[in-house]
Amino acid sequence: MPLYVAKEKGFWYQTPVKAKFFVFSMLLLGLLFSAQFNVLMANVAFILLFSVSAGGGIILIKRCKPFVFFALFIIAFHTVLNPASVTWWGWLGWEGFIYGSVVGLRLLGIVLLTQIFLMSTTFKEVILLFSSWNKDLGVIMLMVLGILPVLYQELNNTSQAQQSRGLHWKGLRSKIKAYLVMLIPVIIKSLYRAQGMAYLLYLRNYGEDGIRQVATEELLSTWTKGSRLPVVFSILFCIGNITGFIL
Amino acid sequence: MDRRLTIAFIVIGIGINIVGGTLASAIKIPLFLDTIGTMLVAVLLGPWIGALTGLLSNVFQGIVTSPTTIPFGIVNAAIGLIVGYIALWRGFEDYITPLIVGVILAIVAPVIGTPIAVYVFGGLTGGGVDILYGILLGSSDRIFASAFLARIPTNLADKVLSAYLVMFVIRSLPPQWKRMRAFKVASQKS
Repeated sequence: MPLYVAKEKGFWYQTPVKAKFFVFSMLLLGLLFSAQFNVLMANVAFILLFSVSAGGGIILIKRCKPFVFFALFIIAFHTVLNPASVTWWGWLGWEGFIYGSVVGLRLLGIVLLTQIFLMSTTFKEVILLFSSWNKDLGVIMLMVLGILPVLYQELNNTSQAQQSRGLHWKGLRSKIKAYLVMLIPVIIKSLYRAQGMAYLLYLRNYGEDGIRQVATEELLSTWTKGSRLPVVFSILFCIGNITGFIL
Repeated sequence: MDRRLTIAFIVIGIGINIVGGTLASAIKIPLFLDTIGTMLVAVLLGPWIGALTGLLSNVFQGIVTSPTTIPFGIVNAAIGLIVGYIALWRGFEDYITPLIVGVILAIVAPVIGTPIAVYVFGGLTGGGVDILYGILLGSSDRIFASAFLARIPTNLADKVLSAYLVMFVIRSLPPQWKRMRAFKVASQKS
């Protein structure tokens, strides 16, 4: 399933990436400072409404499904085992249920926010965002994206070669031995590959102001015509939750 | 050249972290084994580059796979710092240093990770550690202490194994790699 979901309409998709990240950070911060059950319910409902209006649909629900099951597991675990429970109905404790629900709701809110941010942001925009903080960060993230398939391919080749020599992983000791036998060649080859990558960067004059400016001011601004409302709302959301937490 | 080499090593460190963690899950080892790249970069290039490698590993994994790994980037960064400073102090080629590193990290990693896990996940991981956590929680009144103690055995095995693996890799490196800053300082001190 692709991370980015292309949509032509929707105000959130038109928003510059830095504004999106700012809104996402403020909403996340506000959510982390929500500790009461009813406040958290209201916050998660707002985030759900925001996610749906920003363009999240069936795909958002599918992506959040594993986390919904995990949140239910958290609620069930704490309902039965939380030591803070005083009011019991058989095996079920009310205070534990509230604690589990608070944690589960917060987790769902975090996941919803992150998924809607990732769904509406291309990887190029994420790289540009990192590059706006530090040029090297963007290059690092881009190179990791390129090197991972190579490393997985090397791992696959090593694994097949070793399996043809009788390697197996039945039993814990064999698993650890197999892990070391498969990973060590990948690590050693990667170190030599790093040297090659450094030489390529040197040949491309990287680091001597050789990187072209590809991000426009508009793409990286936080305060544009379309982003003012979400930015203001997110600041108010964050301040409201922090104030509620302190008081 | 140093800056480019640093960038390349950070990239490789992040890649090794991700591939190592994926391989451990694929062959069902009950350990994380996703900090090998962080430790390697920390030993070769110093504590702060190691910390950056650890942090960026979790950020990248959070973007690509599961966003819930991002908060644990702080733990990975702390691992890079600790391993880097110990490597500067003692080097990383003898048989005692990885054991010291493993024991220290087995305590430090849960100390930093447990508050995050308790606040975000209620102390649960969705893995086998939850059984031990449930047993400890049932016999005590403390969520944090139960979550912390449940994580120590897995972290001890994980960090000691990772540290020894990094030690063997460092020992097998050719002499030209030993001109790197962190490694050179450690060798001069010994």
